[in-house]
Amino acid sequence: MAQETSLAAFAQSVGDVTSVALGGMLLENRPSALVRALIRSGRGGLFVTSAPAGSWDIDVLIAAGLVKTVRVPHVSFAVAGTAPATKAAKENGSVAFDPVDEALLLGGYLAASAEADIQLLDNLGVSDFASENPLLIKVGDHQGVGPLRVDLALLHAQYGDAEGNLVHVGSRWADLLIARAAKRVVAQVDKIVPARVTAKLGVTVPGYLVDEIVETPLGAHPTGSVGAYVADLAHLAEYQAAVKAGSFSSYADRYITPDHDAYVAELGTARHAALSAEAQS
Amino acid sequence: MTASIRERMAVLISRALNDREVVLTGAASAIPLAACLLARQRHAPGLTVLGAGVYINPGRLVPEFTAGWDCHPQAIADMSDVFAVTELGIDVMFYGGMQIDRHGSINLHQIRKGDGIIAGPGLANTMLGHTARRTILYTERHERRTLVDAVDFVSVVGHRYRGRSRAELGLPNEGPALLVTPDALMRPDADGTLGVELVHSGAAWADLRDRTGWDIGEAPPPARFEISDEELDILRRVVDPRGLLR
Repeated sequence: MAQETSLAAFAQSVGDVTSVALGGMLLENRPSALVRALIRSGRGGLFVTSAPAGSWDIDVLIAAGLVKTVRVPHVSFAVAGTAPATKAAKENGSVAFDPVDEALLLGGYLAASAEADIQLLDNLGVSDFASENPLLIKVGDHQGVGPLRVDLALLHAQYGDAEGNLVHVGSRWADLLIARAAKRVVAQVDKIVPARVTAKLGVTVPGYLVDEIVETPLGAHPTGSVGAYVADLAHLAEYQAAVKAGSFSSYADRYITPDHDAYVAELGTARHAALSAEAQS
Repeated sequence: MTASIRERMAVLISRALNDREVVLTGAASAIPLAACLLARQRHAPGLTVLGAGVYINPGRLVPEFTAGWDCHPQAIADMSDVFAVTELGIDVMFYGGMQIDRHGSINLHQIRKGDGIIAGPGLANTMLGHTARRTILYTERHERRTLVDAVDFVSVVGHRYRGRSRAELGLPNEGPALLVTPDALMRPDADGTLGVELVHSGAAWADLRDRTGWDIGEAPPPARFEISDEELDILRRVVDPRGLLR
């Protein structure tokens, strides 16, 4: 059974975490409020992984200087363009990027959830990426990837209840796989509702996998939350410009240092309403 | 009505999709998704579209596919389904690329620049390049820095890899069946080199040769591109009423 928590309590309890998996996919359902709290905790030297495509959440952790290694096949802002800190870190070598594609990444989660030493991947084919990949394990005529376990998983869902049951309105992407591979799972939800409501809607990640839950309206911003609000492409452009101009600290002072209530207030009700209207169109 | 570049590309791709096939589009793939929706409306009502792998038969185009917009899918899957369907294989996978070369290999990882690299975003699903029956390549840039003789890094192999054919590499399935650019539709010849089958933009042949990183021949192909009123009407009225491709 999960416990309700706060972002401040989460930040104080990060402790000696060294590996983090972030839920959602690309510009959807990223656990942004928890990522901002993780940055406020100051915990660095992190191994960061995700579903197969990440965006602002991974990039902002890199920009904040908290990441040692990334294991995510694709990081970009999709139509909004480049993930600027990620691109710079790849080019200057300041962060290690594990050579993974979707199968190698998801295979790691599958092996972890099955308590197996290997997930077979005999269909990787040939490419500069797959040939002699250091993550591949050879077993006789077969090859595969070892388990990918993390200390901490941060997830976002539209709804959750006090028991920690989560409901995703769109896809749960890799959130269930990630939850099964993590020692500790913290979930943020747009709204905490009674358990009879999550049961009726259909639970997508069961509460027995979730340790803590926190209600964070607009918590996925600047990414989108299906049915609640869409990604804020203007904010992503503002972030990109700040990183490219070398003024990430100003961005952080304005958007990461304040608590979540102040963050939502800074965005303003008009922008919140516009993003919500698009999501419900 | 005159079709936009992206509308023409969507029409060309839609014509390459068949009824009852299963196809998968990437997350940020408005043109292939529009092509799929157009094909379902016209000649391929039984086409199954796995939008971003998980949104099954999306009902509409949205400004960004994996960003909170509701694409009105018939059903929703998750990444464990995508892992399984990648192993099992489908009919068509769509790929773009920072670089695409004469043999249809694509690069989304890195481009060499002096002593360093220009980093790309990386690629999530590489395996469908050979577990899908065929792939369809597209790019919105018909220029030499994109259409190169040989990619700097092979993210997904096309018809040749380090001098060896797909058969010699033991790769099953067809590989790249066509490449659609803002100017042309290209298909592989017997050697696996992409050649121009159709110029759909009105670009002069000399200009197109100059913007292509390999020799596409002395003379343009005779085929002409025509888009029917029905195709454009369905595309604009049903598939893309918000005008995202215009």
